[in-house]
Amino acid sequence: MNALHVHELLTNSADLLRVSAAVLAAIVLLYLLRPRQRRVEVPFGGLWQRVLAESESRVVGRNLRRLLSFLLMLLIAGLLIATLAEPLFGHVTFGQRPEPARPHTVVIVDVSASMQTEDGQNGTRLAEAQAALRAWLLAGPPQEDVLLLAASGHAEVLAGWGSDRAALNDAVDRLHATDGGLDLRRAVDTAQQALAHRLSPRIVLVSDAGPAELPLDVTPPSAAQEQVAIEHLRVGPARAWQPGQPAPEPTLTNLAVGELRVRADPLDPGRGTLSVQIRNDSKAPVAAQLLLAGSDTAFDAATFGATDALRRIVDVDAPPGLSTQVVPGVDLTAARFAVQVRGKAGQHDVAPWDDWGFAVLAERRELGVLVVSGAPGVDPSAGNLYLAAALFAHGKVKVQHVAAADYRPETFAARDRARHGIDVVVLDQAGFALPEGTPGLILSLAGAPTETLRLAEGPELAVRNEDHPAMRGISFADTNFDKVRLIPPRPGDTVLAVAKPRGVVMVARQDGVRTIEWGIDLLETDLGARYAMPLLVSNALLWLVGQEESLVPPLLVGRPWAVDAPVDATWQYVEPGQKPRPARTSGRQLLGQSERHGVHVWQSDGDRLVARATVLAPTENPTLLRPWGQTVRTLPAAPQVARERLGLPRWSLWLLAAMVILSVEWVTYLRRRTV
Amino acid sequence: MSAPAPSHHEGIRDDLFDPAFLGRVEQLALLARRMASSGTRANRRSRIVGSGIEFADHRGYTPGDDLRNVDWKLFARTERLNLRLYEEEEDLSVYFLIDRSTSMTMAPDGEKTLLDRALQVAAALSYIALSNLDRVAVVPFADKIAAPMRPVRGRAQFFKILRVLSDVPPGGRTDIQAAFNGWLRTQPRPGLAVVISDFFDSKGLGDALRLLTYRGFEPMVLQLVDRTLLDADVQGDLAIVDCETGETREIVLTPQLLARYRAAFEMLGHDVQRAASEVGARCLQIDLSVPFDDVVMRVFRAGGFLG
Repeated sequence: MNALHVHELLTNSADLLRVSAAVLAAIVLLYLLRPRQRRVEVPFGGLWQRVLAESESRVVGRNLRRLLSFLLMLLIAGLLIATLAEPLFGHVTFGQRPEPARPHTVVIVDVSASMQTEDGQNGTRLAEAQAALRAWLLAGPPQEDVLLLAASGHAEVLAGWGSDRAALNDAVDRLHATDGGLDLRRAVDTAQQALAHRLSPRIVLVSDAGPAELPLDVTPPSAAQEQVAIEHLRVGPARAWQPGQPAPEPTLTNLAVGELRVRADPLDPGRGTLSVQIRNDSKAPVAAQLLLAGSDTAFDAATFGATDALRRIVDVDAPPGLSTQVVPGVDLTAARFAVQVRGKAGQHDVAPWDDWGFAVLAERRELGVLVVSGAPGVDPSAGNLYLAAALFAHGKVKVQHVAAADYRPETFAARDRARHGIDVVVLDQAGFALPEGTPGLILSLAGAPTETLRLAEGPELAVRNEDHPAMRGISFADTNFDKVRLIPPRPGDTVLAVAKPRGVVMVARQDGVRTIEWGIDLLETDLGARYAMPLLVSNALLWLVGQEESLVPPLLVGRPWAVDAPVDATWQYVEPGQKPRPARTSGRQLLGQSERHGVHVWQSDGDRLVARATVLAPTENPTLLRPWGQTVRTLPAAPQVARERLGLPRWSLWLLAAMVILSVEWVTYLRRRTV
Repeated sequence: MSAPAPSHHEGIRDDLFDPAFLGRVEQLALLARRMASSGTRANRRSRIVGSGIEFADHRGYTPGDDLRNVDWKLFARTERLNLRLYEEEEDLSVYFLIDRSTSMTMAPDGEKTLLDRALQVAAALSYIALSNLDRVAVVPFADKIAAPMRPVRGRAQFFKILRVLSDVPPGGRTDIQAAFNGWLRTQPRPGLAVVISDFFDSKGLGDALRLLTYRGFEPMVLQLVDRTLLDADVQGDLAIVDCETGETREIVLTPQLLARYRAAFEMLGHDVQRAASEVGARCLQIDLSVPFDDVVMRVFRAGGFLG
């Protein structure tokens, strides 16, 4: 555990520590005040006198031990008072320490993903930063105290306050770039706190981001209110960027994978359509290749790049800037999916860290469907055969039929789902209400107005909202409808299909529970015999139960995550390429945070698995030059809380010392005979 | 919390001397008769120069001795004057010197004390002695003798003995030598002195036994011990208070210290035995857990009581 981890632990656990300190103090005081002696009547005191005769010969030693015990008690009491007083009086009472009159500098080194870009003179931008930092340390005054912070999503102290250049150079050597984005606010905030009560405070930022408008003023949380000077040490293209001048045009060759989307075929979840956003940072089109990989176990670029994971290679043209490539017929049989973009001619890509996109495919579970048939001439036990065929085509459904006369909505309420196992209720020409809380698909001609439509001869039925998940891949061209019912849309309804120009015939509603209503009867149209019908039913079922997306939502690298999961078991968290470790949980959520790009896995002791892919921070773009001065200037001035935070480790040490001495007193108590 | 006062019936403590106890005492007396020779006279031998007929020993002549006792035959052989000593047969006086000090009364609530056990043993031995036509007296002591009892004779006096035993007042500080000195000033007739005590006396037992022997008594020592008091389950800071003197000492009781205390307790038993053997007295250490009839049997087996 490094110094920052200790610092953060102490800082973030302030309240817990205070409560613990109060409890411990009470325990210690009770221990000190406990009755020390019990009176025991013995038949013959002379016998005890004989036993203790040899101790009597060591009166001086006995008195010394008593004195030592008394001094220990005094010391413990003093430490406890100091512990309790420290948060109240802060540094004024106990914390103020004479500081040597020498400058103090916090060096913040950007180790975010963009620092992996290989456009520097010494390889990556981080290597360039390390070289610049070594030169800076060599040129600086030897008595200057330096604290080295590595900053990405969080700030990590690599070297605490000190002027030992060898130790600082060792810390510089240990710098390594992450896949996370840079949280400059947090890094400067940490530096501010570290500079509190320090003389000649200064912050040096080492990053590939753009320059700030110097000098930047940061008010330190100190009584002296000394100004913090901020300097920049720029690497990468920003090196040549001078304040007040336009940003230089980057001339990089870089292909990157942006947003990754997969749409599984509703009737064949093993295949689907891939949509990849590609970013070409050069000024010319690039002939590129997309490498599609699938695996149930791969977790990062190395494991997805293995031969056995490769599924397909697709040639694409990547124009400058952002473009979207659509690849149909992609094999989606594996649980995890990854895409790499690379130049077809093997061009040097300066930022290989953004070439990969990862995705975890959503698992499609079996749905329980209750079909309530009320259409005349339809066998209630078998239902409408057109509907039955469409449900059969969907595959992962378990269908129950019930006649309209036997249907009781209250029986299938969502709160009793564990008992009846129904996820969706389909009302086919059955004029009843849906069960409370249960999604439903309503097919009904009942109600006015009802019209007779004949395609190509009369009014045209058309899809209105093609982007709605319920209407994906649907066209009503060439479909005949004898009758449709016009549905008066209500506020909040999403219109799915209309009979031009008369009115709405299909709507989707989402007011707490999802509902789709079709103003048709499958016996009054040839839709049931067409390919659109299974698609419509399948789309509707998936949307009704919230499974319309094929991908599990990704997580942002470097940010704290909370993933819904049953936490009634013990979970292990597996960071890509790392050993499993106990997962943190909160309520019904698994918590995590990582600066590694790939697929992150939580595994329970009951073999349940939760996998999430990550996406890179949008700010991590090797060509993006951001001025950061503005960020620094919006920092809150002199936060009082910082004063207490910096006091915490010190009073914690008081408490720790008291506990240690108390333990010594406790352990040696029985050995120190006080007779 | 003080223990409730024991109930009495006709001046005799019910809790100690109930009918079962008396029945058991009768059995012990029958047993004692079988173990010893019986007769109308007291038949216990007293090693006193007297008019008996059984030769016992010689001792040197000192001026004033009766010349009739000079062994002239021995003088003819050795040319040194020695007196012939005979063991005189007489009715024996048996004194039960019972320690009634506070240390003898310590016990957990409801449990029998060492004093209770001492009274029972004394009662049983008294009955046997009375049955043997010996004279019996009970002498309770702490640092002095409260009210000396005149020796009584005959089984009919047993209930008087029991009443005296029932009225023994507990309490007081142990000073055996001072108590014996005070008792001997009453000129008791020499005889068997059965001393029953825990011997928790800082002055020791040796001088007191030597004093008895010097005054012609034949001491027998019964040391009563209660080992449950050694099984202390307390540790840490203690203020130990002597139950007799009230003196307080502060200690930190550790397992090691407790072990040393137990060793010292055993050493005290050895000291008592050594003091008894120095004067030729029999000594028995009796734990409180041993029933009183077993104690009596051990006294029989040790010899010296039944002659």
